[in-house]
Amino acid sequence: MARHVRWGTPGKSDHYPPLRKPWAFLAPSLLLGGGILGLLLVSWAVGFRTPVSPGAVIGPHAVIEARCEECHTSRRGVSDVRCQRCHDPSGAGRLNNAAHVLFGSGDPKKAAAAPKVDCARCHVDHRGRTAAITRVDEGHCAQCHFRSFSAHPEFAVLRTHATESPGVEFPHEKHVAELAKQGVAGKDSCVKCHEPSSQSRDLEPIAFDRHCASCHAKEGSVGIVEPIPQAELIAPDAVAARGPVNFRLDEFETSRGRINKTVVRHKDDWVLANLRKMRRDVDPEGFGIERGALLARESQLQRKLALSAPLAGLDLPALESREAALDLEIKGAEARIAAQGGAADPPTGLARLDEVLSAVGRSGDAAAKAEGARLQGEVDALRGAPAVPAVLPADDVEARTKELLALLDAVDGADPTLKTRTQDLRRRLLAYNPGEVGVEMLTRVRDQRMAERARVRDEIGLRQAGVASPAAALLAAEQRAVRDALAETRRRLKEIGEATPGAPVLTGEAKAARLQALGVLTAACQKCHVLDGPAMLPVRPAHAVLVRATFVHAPHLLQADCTRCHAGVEKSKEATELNFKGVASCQECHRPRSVRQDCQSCHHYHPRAMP
Amino acid sequence: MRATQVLRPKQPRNFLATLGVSAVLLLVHAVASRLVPWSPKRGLGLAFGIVAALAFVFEMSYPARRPAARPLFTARNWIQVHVYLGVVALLAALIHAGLAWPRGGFGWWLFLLSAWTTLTGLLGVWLQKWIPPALAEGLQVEALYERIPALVEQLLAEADALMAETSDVLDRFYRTELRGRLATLAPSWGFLLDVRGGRERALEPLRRMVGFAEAEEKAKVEDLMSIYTEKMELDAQYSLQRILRQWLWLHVPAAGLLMGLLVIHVLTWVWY
Amino acid sequence: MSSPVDKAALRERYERRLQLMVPADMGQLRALPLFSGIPEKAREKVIEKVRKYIHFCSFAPGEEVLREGDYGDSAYYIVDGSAEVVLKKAVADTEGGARPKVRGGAHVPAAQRPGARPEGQMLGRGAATSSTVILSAFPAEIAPGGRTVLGAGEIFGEISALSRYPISATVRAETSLSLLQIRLPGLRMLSASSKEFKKFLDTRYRERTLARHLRSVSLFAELDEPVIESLKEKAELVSFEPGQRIAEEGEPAEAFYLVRGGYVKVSVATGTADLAVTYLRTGDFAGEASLVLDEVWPFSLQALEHVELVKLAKDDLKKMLAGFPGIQEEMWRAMVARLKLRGAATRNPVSSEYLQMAMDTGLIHGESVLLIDLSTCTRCDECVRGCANAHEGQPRFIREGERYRNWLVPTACYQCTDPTCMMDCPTGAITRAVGTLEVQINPATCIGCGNCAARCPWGNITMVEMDELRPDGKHVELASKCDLCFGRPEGPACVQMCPHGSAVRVSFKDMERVITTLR
Repeated sequence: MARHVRWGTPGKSDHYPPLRKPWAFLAPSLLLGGGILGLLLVSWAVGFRTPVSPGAVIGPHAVIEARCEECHTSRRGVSDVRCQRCHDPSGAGRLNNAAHVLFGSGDPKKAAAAPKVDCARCHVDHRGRTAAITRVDEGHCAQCHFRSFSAHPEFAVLRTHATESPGVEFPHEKHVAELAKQGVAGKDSCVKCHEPSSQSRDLEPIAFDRHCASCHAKEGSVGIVEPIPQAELIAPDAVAARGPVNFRLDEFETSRGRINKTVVRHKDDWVLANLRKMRRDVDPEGFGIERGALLARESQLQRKLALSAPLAGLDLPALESREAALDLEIKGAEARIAAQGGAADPPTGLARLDEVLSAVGRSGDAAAKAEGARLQGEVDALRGAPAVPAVLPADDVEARTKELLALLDAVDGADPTLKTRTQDLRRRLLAYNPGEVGVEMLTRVRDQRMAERARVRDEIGLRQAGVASPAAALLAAEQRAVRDALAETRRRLKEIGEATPGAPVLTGEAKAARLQALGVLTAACQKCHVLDGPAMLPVRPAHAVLVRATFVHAPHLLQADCTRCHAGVEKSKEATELNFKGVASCQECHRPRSVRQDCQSCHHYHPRAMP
Repeated sequence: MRATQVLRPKQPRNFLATLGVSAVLLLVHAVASRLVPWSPKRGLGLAFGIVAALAFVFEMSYPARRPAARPLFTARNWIQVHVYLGVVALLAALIHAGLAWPRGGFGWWLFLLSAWTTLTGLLGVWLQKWIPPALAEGLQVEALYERIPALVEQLLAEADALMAETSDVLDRFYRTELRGRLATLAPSWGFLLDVRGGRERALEPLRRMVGFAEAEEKAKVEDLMSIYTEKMELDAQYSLQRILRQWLWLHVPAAGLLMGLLVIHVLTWVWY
Repeated sequence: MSSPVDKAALRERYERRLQLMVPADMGQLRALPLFSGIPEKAREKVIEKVRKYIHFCSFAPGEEVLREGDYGDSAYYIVDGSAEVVLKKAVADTEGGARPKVRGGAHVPAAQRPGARPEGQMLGRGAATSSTVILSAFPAEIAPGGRTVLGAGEIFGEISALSRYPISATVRAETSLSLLQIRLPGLRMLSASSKEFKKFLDTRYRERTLARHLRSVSLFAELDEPVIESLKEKAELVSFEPGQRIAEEGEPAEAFYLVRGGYVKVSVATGTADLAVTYLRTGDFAGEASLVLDEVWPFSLQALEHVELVKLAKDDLKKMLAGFPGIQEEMWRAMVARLKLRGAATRNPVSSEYLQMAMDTGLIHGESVLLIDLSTCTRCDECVRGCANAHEGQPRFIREGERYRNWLVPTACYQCTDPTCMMDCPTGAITRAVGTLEVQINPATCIGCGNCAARCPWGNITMVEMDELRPDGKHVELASKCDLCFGRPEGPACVQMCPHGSAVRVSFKDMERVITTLR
């Protein structure tokens, strides 16, 4: 019979075939998983952390890559305190969000209320050696600010039409026309004075010697000084005796008790010295304020410098004593806050008064009751009156500040031994922000101390755990900035001179005569410079258009003409005119899908080390 | 083509539901990442990560369906959940990482292992849909994988018995050409594409032999053909069933490794 | 295994049964009146042939001879003594505890599925289907809870042996009893060689059972007592061998048949092939068309196995039924239904193909057949593993067997309606409790003789080696078979654990369901 291929199984088993074990695949797989887990844990434990690291850290962090605790606190992620160990060694709190808000708005209330943003929220590491950690996703900015450049508001200066004087009178129209006569036109005429810098990518600052002298200081002289009675002035040799000067004694002529100068240079030392003296004579108050401000700034900077020794440089006992000192300060601040509680807030105060009066009423003392009733009457009268402003108007604040500074100066003059105390008070005065209530300031101070104490504690903890101190390289840059600012302040102080103790205040005729002499003295200067009474206004850009951003001219100059953004310059007569179109001119090119328009192109988040 | 026919989902509702869920997840990510910069460590990125981790752990617990499949799902639904949730888990993991390439060795390992596990899983789905119809439609013989070597031996014994007393010609032919092929099991990857591959070619010599054989031996040659065909069918059965079994070695160890790395990943997030 | 006490009881029972395996003594047999009907010349030869199927056995008073619900393979002839026949009160008693609840329809018997063809006497789950029980062998009507007594010369158990039906009453020895056990092959041989013996058996049947059997047919349920009596007289008891044609399509129909036991195929001829229409089993009838229409046979009838029929001549029946118009109506209905079936079969040969396949392969016997769809089965062995987990690590089926198209029929017990495996069990370890579907093997009483495994035509019972050793050093073996996961709340593990839904359980008695499942 023919054999066919069976449908089904050829032949039947006589016993049940053995089953594959149910965990045949799972058991070895889980073992494999467990093995790798164990291996990685062991590797982590012995310090070889690269296998469990989510990615390489950027190049500058590579030295600490294996030491996770340099940045990570256990169970709390990357802590700001750890970043600040290297990046903000002086503990200025420059890099946190409160500083940013203060930098941007100048409003400390807003800064105090700003939410805390961790460093690691925007600056994410572990993305490779060459990752751009400073490039921050725009979405982070958009959490508080607007989202796209097209929604960027008009620049503040244009919004408010600020017209502060730049300190010189300068009509662009005349100058452009003058250059045109010489055959220089268009972009070339702009570039004649606004030169692209070779050092940076922006423009060279306008300097008299470079840009103005060629026309305005023929043979180095900007003009002459008409004769002025010598009694009003400091003699040239007296000025020359103070130090090197940029004038020669032969430029002076004296006759009949008057002195005149034939050649006046730009920033002539004799003219300036006399200007300062006259200013002191005529407006001692203003002088006092200016000097006081400079002194305060000097002491502020000195304190900053002193405090900028990094925590890392301190040994354990020093850290602990620092912590103890901070504890005391915090306690003190809190005590003062508690003491001031209620006094700052008029409504709360009134409510308290009501409480007290009703308690007095209940007590049954007739005399006290009568007194209480009288007070109540006064308060009621006040209540009807227009509300006492909680915030003093700005002018008032300024006036009071001036008063206090002058007072402090007088105290300094009267008793030099009180200098440290007056310095301290000056600092406090200048730290005081208008609109800020005492409690708020105290709270601000207390919070700052608490942040600092947290840092000190963290440092102590790290030191006890045997974690090494970071290199202090980043500090040098900060300190340099502070030192430069301090030097500048001191120079300025020196420049404005010292108050003459016991000098009489000039009034009436003497004052008028002095003022007149001042006018003659600075006649040449006043061709361009602006004098506000006895003081010469500092020459500075009329109000920087970009306060919290940077702008680099160089790439723009390659593509466009100056008048594309600075339209109407050739017709501008006043120096106070801005001659700038505003944000619309930027938005012409910085559009979505066109030129890059992310926040970081222009803006900085972190304020500079030395604002 | 059978390939696309075979890929039709057994329960289209589940397939559509998975597509819907995936679309929703992608949409959520698209919207959220426009509003807030995406971070795997916090917020929605973390939520996706937790979802992905839990999903992967649940996937690993597929063997827990024995012995009774209840109370969670029926046996049929377990596999549906396992496959579709696997895809969603991979998607959730990718979204958790911000739909960007991984940075760093550890990230690459996690990414590659998840992708490998899911993709081998999908390969398994395809194999399980392709191979059974191939076996059912292309073959007549059906045998248990473990028994096939014994069955081949039986066939050889049968052929030997058949050829015990035959003419020289046939005997020589049998011994030189055929017996070797009957004696050893010959699995081949080619059966995956064509379950009857190579059969006609292999039977050609036998067909020719029918012409040369004497009258009384024709039946024997035809019987030999039947035996050889059965043996080839057993080869095909063996090959394809072996693929169905050994495929698990691609899928499960990678999943185990992934579990280990996942634990480390979670620990580092918790600890740091 | 079991405790020493159980072992001892088991040994005793086994020895008792072993005793029963000893062929009877020639001399003793010759003396019996049972064989007197055989002609002298042939008697010796017949007795010689038959003696290995005949055993003498004795029972002490109170000992159980037959248990209700057991399947018997023997007739018992009382030589001396008296036996008590007891019928339990309620039919809904099972062996071994409460009937578990079953979820899912994997193996709900056909009779309980909606729209299924109602089965007359099929034993399925639920008392309702077993409301009419044929009293196999007892001379009087016994009410539930009642009893009767049989004396010397009586025979009992032959009906259930011949029709493979469960014993429906318990028989106990009242006094010291000595019996002659005649096993089924012996019964058949004797019926064939001794007309007198056959007459003896038939008379018994006629007297005791036929009336009841006739009454059990819905057609005759309303008939009067005298009509039934006369029908009883006129009825002829016929037997057919497997494959024998009972009636041919197109030939004049002269008789009405009632099936006593066995399966009969009903088919129509189409072209050269036979198209199977349906089947008949115990309790079914055929030939009503002839009574109603005077027509030729619209189908052919063929015996699928050993078949016992009650044949009633057309004319006799017609005369009797003339006075009962209601029956005519019912016959009409039955005929119409059957013709419809035939029409359906010719229109839809696929269903007939399935039916034919089921008949050819024997699947038609099964109440719950496991089928595996090979085009979705990934050969993962979850079904077998599930079976193993449900049975202490030992699976109860093998994924091997015949294929039908893309369906594999694995060697898992089909839970036959009329199981043959139960017949040779010496200890009664393999049972089906009355009213249940599952044929179960009790491992505590199974002695591993292998009779059931040998008897199953499809090899669905496997002998499993246990750790224990027999006295001769070999391992103890126990029979093991699928029991539909009796006691498992989720139902059969094979179906439940398949992740692709490739494993299904169907009953070939419900063809509509089969067609929709197998497509």
